[in-house]
Amino acid sequence: MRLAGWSVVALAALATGCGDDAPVKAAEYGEVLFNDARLSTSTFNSFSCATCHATTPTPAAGRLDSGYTLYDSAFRGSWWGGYETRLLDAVNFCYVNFMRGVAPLPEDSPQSRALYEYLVSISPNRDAKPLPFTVVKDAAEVARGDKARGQEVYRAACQVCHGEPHTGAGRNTELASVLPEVTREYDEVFPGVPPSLVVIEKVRHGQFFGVGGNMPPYSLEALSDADLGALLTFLEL
Amino acid sequence: MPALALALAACSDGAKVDGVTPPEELEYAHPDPWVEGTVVPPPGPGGRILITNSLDDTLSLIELDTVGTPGFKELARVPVGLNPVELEGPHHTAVSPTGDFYYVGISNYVPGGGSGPHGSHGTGADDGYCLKLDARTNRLVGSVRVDPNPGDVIVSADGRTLYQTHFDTLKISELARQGVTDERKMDARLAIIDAATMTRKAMVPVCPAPHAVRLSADERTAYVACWSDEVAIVDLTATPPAVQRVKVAAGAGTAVSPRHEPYALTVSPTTGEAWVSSMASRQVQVLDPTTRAMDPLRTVQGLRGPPMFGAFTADGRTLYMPYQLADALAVIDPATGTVRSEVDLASAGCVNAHQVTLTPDERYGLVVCEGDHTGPGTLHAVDLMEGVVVGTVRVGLFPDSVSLLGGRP
Repeated sequence: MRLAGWSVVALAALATGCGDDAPVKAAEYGEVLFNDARLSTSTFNSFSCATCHATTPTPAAGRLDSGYTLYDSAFRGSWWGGYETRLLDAVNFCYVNFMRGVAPLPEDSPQSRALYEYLVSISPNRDAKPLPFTVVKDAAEVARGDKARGQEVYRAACQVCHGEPHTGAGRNTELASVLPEVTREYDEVFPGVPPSLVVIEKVRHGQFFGVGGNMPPYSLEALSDADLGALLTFLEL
Repeated sequence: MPALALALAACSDGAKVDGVTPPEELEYAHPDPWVEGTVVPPPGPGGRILITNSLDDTLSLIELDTVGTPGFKELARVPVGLNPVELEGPHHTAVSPTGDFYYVGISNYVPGGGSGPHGSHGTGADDGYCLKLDARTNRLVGSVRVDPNPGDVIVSADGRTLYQTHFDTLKISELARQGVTDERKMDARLAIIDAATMTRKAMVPVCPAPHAVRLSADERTAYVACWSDEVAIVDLTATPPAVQRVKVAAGAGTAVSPRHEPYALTVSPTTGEAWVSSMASRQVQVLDPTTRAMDPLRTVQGLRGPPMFGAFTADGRTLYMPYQLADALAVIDPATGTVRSEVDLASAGCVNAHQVTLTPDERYGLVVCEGDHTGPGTLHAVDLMEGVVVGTVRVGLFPDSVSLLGGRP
């Protein structure tokens, strides 16, 4: 769908022709913005909306996103587990916290309106229900799982930002740590705390609860404890 | 991505789309963007009850004119806070006199304790905020950073000034651990805030772990209940405001070892006396505003649990005081400090009674009960003439304040 969407935009752009005075549909421009990290003017940002959100009814195989698919997102009524009750506020929470937007998107800028129209365009169900978002507030150890599954989880959930394990090759930002090598520093940074628990807290809390950084949190719906346990096995933690 | 890039690059000279730069002409399909969301009807002339649910970051809304009717139920539960991920512990609420805005103090998380600041009241380490919300939409319209552990918040009669205390018991314990005995170093500050701009006008050190704050009728003086077995009397006319601290009883304790633990405070509308609810001694102690001394003869004693936030009738002749453990509403004669009668709340499901406020016609007392902090708390409507609970509403987790927004007198 994402590629198909891009093709549609591309075709539309071509079809209208460069010299054509016909206006661009806002939803199409919104799709461009959705996929482009430059929506945020921060030079430190490497996230686009698409980094964490699919746009198909179910995410493609091989994706374990921290955020829900935004298919049918516009009419859910509330977001972030019910703690945002206005769509723009929900979007801006991502924009400011993860994309390092300097200020929230205003309601009436061309970018904001285009993004809105794109979200509406991928939301055919006006009766969509709110989705749960269960934050694991108290980080705790989890049972370890299968290493092969853990490798799949790493590829699906971690690799886009953190790159290949051990090297970080292909990571989308140098600010993302190399896994699991970063845990070697934990004895000094978090003395007395098992490195696995530090990783669990980072996964479950992201940048929140005083953890810092730029990572979004993985709710229980986004990542099960079983998959988290498998990931830890893969990371040999 | 490459396909679009090619397409857009092909149009790079005089193109309509260049990266994320808006095209010269955009065709909108929706004239009103970003309207999606959950809308709660604005409060009507009958008024509304606001209850802070401090352990689930929400406010429960109940229509005031349903009190005493079968329609007494929760209208909506709306989120409050700056962050949908962390627990922020909305604590107390103040309502502007016009009913246009309400204000909520929030703490922030306790590092390492995901249960949130209010899971262990007064031990937050991060700065809190005072939030300003539009009463019609329940949307955040302003905020100001204050000190850790915001406690009580009140608003002046003209709606222009907020007074926010900070129940910072962590400061006491940290300094005590370091061997500090100077209580002035343990003082937390009273934030005086411009409600229009949500900026801090003054931060006044008052006492260790100040909680309840109330103003004198002329608003020249603020009275603050201090965990250090004191009442702080703040002269708001002085620059900077001057503070006098009065021990609530002879033989009172200290900030580190309080014997009374003053927590809440209620000012008589007729005499101006401050009635101080002390948790450990289970007493309500009276401060004479003229002599600035306690009147031990009228200390309310014999309560079967810690007294909390009470409310006076407008004529000053009755003080309704909820108290915990037995969970009852004591009906107190302020002239003598004796308990005339009690209303049983426990049998109606109240656990940990926290605050009572009276309906504008003073026919009902609305008592909020915290619950057991794992399940829902409750709001009880008490028919004050009959002395019985006539309605109960289950609300969110750990509710600990009840305020009224508008409503006919």
